[in-house]
Amino acid sequence: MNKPAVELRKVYKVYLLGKIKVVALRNINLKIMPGEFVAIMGASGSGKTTLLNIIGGIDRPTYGDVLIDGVNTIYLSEDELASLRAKKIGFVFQFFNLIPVLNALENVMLPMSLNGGLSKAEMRARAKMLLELVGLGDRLYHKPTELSGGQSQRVAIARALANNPAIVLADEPTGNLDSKSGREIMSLMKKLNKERGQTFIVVTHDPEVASYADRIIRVKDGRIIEDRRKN
Amino acid sequence: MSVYTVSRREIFERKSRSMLTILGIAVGVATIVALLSIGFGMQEQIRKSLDKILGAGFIVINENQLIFSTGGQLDASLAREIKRIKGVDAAVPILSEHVYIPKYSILPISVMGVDPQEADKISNVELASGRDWLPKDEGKLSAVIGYSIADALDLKPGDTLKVRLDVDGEKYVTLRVIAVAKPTGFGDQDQTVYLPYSTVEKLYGEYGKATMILVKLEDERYADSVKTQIEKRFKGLRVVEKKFLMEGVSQIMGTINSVLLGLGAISLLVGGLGVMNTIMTSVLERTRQIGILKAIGASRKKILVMFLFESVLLGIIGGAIGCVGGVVMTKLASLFIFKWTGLFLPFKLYSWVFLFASGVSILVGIGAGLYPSYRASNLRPVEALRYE
Repeated sequence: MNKPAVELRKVYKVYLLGKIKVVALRNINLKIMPGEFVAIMGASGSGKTTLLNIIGGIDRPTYGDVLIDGVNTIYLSEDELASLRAKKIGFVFQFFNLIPVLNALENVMLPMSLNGGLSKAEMRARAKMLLELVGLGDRLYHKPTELSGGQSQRVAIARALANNPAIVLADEPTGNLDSKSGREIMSLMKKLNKERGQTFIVVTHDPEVASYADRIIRVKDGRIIEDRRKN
Repeated sequence: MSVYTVSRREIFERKSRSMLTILGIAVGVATIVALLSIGFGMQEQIRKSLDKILGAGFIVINENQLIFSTGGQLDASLAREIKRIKGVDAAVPILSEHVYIPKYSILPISVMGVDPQEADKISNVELASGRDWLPKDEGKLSAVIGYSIADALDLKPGDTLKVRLDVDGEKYVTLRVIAVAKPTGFGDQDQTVYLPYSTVEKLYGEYGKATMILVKLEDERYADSVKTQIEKRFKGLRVVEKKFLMEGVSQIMGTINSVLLGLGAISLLVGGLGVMNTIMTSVLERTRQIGILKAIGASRKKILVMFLFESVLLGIIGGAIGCVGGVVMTKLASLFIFKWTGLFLPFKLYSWVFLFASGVSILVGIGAGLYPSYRASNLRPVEALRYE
């Protein structure tokens, strides 16, 4: 049997807000297999974004183990974690989070440059291919300010795919888009998931977004209250 | 394409802030370049002038006298006896006194009495205009005047110059300008009036007296023997060597240079604080960007180097502009100080000054960027991403 792409064992996350302890995640146990398209749903403050951040290694659990492709990330240093993110994880954010001083092509090349190993020409060619894949072959040299919300999110998806990661994490990827662009973005992610076999984990509160997923995990008060696969 | 591209673009994106920061560094570097160029230029000019005056040789003064004081402290006839010592090329008595030129300055001006026949042997003064002394000038009020005085009073050869002597009360005499000297770089020399020895002797009633005797050697190798002989044969004399004078000059100039360098360093420190402030602001403004970069795989080192690169780049650009500015500042300072005070400030552009200034600006860039860059590199990605 395949190794899980993501595995969480007894994960807890506790914040200190002044003197008050806030438990954001309680006893999360979860396995996500390679190639799955998972939606994590929950109301605001339910802990769904915290869960995504912990899976992505940009936040650490207070207790428990987080395994990405079999590697327990809680034992990794900050820089080892950064290297793991560069190689295995792609992020798509609600507010796109593109680098404003770089054009679309450069934004997609940036993770490749951070990961290293490719020549400039190879990076350019790959970035161009990815932007064409997300339908932005004619917007390569546009800066983020010259792109619409939908186009910016496509650039962000291309950037997330830059190093051909095993896992793509998206936090409310349609939250800042009109419904038409939102549907287009979700169809694109679904298509990429089907064609490229990459694992997609999308955090959303929107049932329409979640309808694209094969599996829906509901989170409430830091606990998984439902984990349902579509037939 | 790398994080350095982001750094470069960010600098150009925030033009006015970057320009002001660069200006801060540039002013500091320019000050250092200008002060060092002037300071070391002056030192070299003084050394050259001393070389020219003394060549292989020294100054003989009364042992109780300070160097460069005035009055007839020695017998001028000693010069003839010194000249007889083997290895001595020339021994020229100089009678130095003070005169006042009310139109020029309230401070006393040096008058140097030199034997017209021997003047060219021992002087570093070259003529800008006019003629050399002739035998007919002996005992006459034929003056060669320093460049600064001529420039300030707009005097040409053929003009007259009224001066006041404080000998037995006030006495006014009118000198005839026969020549104007070229600027020598010695403020004091450029404000000197040169007269024939016999004239000064007569004006001040110091017949047969000298303030000092300039001794010129045929060759440096006679220096020790001549010095020993003078000290042995003539009691109460002091032989001041060029080396001794140079040491004094170096000491004084060293102190002046240190003070100037200190001022430059303070100015550069202020520039450095400007860089630090800019990078700190930049880190704060770009906290979210740091979060994004970390999320897509940037290590702490990458973030540290990225911000350090920005601050070093600001330092380098500031340093380069400062070097050019320093040259302009030096030329302007030299020009205006000469215009306003008559003091000619020589300067020389040394390549090591530019290397030093560039090195310092890079160091300032690193020093100023280190702390903010370290802070940026240690931001936790999840918190940086949450930053509004």
